[in-house]
Amino acid sequence: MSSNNILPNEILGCVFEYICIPSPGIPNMSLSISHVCRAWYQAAVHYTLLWTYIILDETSGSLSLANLYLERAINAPLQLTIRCKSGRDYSIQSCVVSWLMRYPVNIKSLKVIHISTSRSNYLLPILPCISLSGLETFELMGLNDVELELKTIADILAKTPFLKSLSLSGASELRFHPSMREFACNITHLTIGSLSHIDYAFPLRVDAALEIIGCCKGLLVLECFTLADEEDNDPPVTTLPHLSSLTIGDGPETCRLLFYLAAPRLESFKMAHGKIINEEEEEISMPDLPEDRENFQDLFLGCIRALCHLSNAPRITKLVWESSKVRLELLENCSRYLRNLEEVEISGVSDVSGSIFFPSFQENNSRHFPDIKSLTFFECSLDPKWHHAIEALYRAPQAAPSRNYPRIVFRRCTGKDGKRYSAFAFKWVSVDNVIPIT
Amino acid sequence: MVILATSDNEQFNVDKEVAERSVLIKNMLEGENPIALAVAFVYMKLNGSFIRHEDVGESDQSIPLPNITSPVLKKVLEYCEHHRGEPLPSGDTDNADDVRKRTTDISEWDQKFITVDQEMLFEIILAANYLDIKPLLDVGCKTVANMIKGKTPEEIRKLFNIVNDFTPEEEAQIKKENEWAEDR
Repeated sequence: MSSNNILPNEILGCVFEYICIPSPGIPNMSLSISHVCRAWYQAAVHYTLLWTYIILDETSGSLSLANLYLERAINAPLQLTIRCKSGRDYSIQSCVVSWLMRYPVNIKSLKVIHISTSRSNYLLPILPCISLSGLETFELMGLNDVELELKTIADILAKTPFLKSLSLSGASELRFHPSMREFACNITHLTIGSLSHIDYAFPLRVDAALEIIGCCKGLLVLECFTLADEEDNDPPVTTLPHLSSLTIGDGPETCRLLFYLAAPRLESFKMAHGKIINEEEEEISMPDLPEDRENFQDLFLGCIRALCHLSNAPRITKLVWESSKVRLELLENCSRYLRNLEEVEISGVSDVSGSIFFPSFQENNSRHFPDIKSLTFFECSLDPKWHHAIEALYRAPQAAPSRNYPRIVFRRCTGKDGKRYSAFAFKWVSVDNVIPIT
Repeated sequence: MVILATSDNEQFNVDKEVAERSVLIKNMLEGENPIALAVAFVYMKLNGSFIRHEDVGESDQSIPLPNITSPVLKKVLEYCEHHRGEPLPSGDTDNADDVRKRTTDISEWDQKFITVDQEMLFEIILAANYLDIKPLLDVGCKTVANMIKGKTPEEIRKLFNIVNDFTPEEEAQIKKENEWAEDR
């Protein structure tokens, strides 16, 4: 078999599927793949999905490439990213706008990244004039020094009947406009409250965030990362009747948002690190502030109580825990509010203690979270004794109680001794037949 | 038990549950893919590489796998054995959204399993494709994708021993496209 044809086109297509998924720090590979040999070229140009991730910036090269990609994508839905830099070439800006006006129907996802100065904000005022009727996802990133009137967003929403996902990352000065109420009701996924990297960025206020959230009555998923608040601020409670998944940044002020939300159908709650947009335009986790930690424990507990009171707690079945500010032991105090948890994911937590989820089985006492089916640790630091305890538990089926234990998985975890437990996981079959995977 | 016969005349006794990780074999056993079975029988007979058990319908009737050698089948069965009992993927995974949501992460066990030389890797991928074992095909394709990611065309050629067979005209077009990319 010739090396050039070692894999048939259908399998090369399957390989290309994975290569064309954009990853941070790795350039788009579509062009490189098509330049390997004629067989790969043929496979690549006929695989339309490979050409649907288009990036436009203020260069003529990006416009030529965009046209090439568009030709090869044929009619496949496009995921377009536009980088608006510091207004360095106005003639290219007008070309970007005309390109956008020529091909609006195919654009399924649009991400507009603004960098640094208001001079770069040439695109946003024009977007409401373009009928992006196929748009499903709109992400506005890094617009931090421009006071953004939400009327512009509402005008975009008015022309995008299929838009379901809206992200206003990094936008802190959002001036409310009543027309948002009319056009934002179809939004099901909203992300707000990420900070930009630049020094003079400041967080969106809780009351401003609530105004936006309140417009999106159809929300299923809400993510709020870093908000600001004032002590005397007491906005009314906003009810989200359909919300099923809520992610909150672990800043103390952001957590106060929970006091003003009611989500009776909430099923999944995630406590996440605050997000910051770095100079490479990626959203990364905010570094921890040590002074936050001590004051944070009580606030968090109060927040969980508030959340569960307002959300009819028994419905919450999934908890994702990404914060290292809050001690894991606090979960124990929350157990009566979260008794129906079925799936727990814990990431980035040091000194994980297993006592909460796995009280000694010999004591045979009731567990705090009796319904847990899946427990995943990701990039955590583990106490080696605890690791041995779980290992022993799973290797001693005769001692195990007559009920099923959850499937537990460790991914990229380390012990205090520096040993990596990345390969340490158990395949749970039943309580009498547990296979350790090493 | 199911008996699987490879192209080099080796036979493998396999638990039905393990063999049925392959959709092709599952369909053969359920009589839903008689054409594939018949084609395989004829192929093996013509090549003289397959002796069919005469007692058709008995449990020791073997299924011929004319495209797969015994070392490759051994690896494939190791994978199927490890993943036995896990839910099979639904057939509805081809829409673009699903593709975009996928990642190139591979579980620890699968990663160790697929750490083989390049020839075996490609053989496993081809076998997974033929036997219709989607999760194994995915692991193989992800592995190849991870090997390719971040590399230049020249590095990819070197990695897989691929010959650059573009004509001068095609090379000129490639050069132009590269200039556009560099201009960004």
